[in-house]
Amino acid sequence: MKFLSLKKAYFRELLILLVILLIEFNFAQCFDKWLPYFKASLKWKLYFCLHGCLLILWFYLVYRSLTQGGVVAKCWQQFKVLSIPRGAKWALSIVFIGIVLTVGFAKSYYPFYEVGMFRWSSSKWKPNKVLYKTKYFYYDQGEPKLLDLRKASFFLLHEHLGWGYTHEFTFSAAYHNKGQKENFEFIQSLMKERGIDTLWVGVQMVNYETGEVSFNPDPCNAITVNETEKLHYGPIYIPEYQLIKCNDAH
Amino acid sequence: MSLPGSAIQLAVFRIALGLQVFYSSSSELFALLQTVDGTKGTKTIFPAAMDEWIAAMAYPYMTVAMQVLSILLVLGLFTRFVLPVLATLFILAFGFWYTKFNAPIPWLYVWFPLLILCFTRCSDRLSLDAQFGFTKEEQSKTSVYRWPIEVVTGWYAYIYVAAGLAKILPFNKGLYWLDGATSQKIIYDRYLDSFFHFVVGKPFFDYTQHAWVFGVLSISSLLIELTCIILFFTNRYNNWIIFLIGSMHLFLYLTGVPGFMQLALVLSLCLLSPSLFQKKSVQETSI
Repeated sequence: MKFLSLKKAYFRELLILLVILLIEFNFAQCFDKWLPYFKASLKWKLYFCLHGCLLILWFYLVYRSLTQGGVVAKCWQQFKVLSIPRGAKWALSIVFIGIVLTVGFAKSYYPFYEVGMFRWSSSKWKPNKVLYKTKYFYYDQGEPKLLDLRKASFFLLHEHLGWGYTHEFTFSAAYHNKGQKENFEFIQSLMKERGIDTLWVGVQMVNYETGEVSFNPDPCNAITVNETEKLHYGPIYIPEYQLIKCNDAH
Repeated sequence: MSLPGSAIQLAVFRIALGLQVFYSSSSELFALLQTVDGTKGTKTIFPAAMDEWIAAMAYPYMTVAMQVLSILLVLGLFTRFVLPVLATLFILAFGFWYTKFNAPIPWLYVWFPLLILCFTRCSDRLSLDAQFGFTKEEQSKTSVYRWPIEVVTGWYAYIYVAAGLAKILPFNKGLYWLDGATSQKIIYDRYLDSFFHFVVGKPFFDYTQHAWVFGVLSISSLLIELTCIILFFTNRYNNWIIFLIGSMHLFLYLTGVPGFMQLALVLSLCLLSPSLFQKKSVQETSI
């Protein structure tokens, strides 16, 4: 046993407190969504009141546990007698409160974080058999070569960008900011330092039905796909000279 | 927390955390975020004026200072003075960057262990401080080395339990989440940027089909994350948890979500039994 050296008898009490807390977290996270219903219907008013009562019950149970030697008192006692520096105890207390609030309300205020990665539900999402991805590429001895930005952050796989081009960098450049001209100019300047003058946008695609992966360097196709297809993190920035080249070709 | 600990385990964790801080603060991301708009919608507890001050003049110095201090932390030199300054700089600087980067990045989980190390005797072993006699001799009461490890284990448990809760709360959304569509979408969307694609070259099967596979993956990841609550009560299953979490992150790493593998490994050091490190101490002494 470690943080909580608890007897089995305490676990039931702890479980009840946690279940009520979870129900209240659920309510807190739906509060904004449910508020309009509260104003419109008596049933919802009762539902809100029920949650209010549950919250009062939770505080009462915590109070009772604290005053009658229950699990909360046991935890508090253990925390008080911990032989750790006072500053660390304060830090732990503040961080604990911050975490409970952010996780409960599912709202992050750095440095407190609710750890909500991939929390969304994609139940209504319908995948296409072909996935398109617009990516920058360059010509090397007449052959198109892909600039796989995300590849750069894998230590053994990177081709152009080395130390410092972390997963966060490639995520930001390949996803978050890919639609911005400044992002393109930043990448372009990096590639110029590495002897690659011109970057184009092409379309990489995977057909999940056949398993075939291909790349189309046609500048006009990239413009069309960029404008018409639903792309992960939206369209990419296409440089002016590619747009001109495509216009000239037509 | 009064269990016997290992000065070496705490020192190894200090070194690993120092390396992680050096890695994070050396990222070219910051140069990029100076030129692009970045994302919006992320909030910090710090006043906007502080972010403006960091943006206007402080960030280049803060970045260099963090790099230098993290090297000192790895070396274990002047650790007592380095840690509070580094922890403060880290929290402030990465708070500023976080306002432009809305994603669950690893540095969100580094600040607390760094803060906790400020109160510890983490440079009693494997440090220049110990070599030069800048620190007191290694304590015979080894619980002073144990409590920080247990606190970071608690932090580890919080990360995964909170991640699990985020997936099932609110409950009505949680039920839909378990159908696996979210996992399917991530693997589908990120395939062309994934390690699997770069190395293997083609998908293993039709990712638009076989929804049950993704359902199993989703339920498994949820169970693994929620299982970490055990860490609050017992150390008995730590090796299993390291294995499960490690497997989950390895899978994510290969499928296009690579960011957390490294941090999970760093934090997992605290889940290892101190006896593993004690054996090394004994061997060293006998040599």
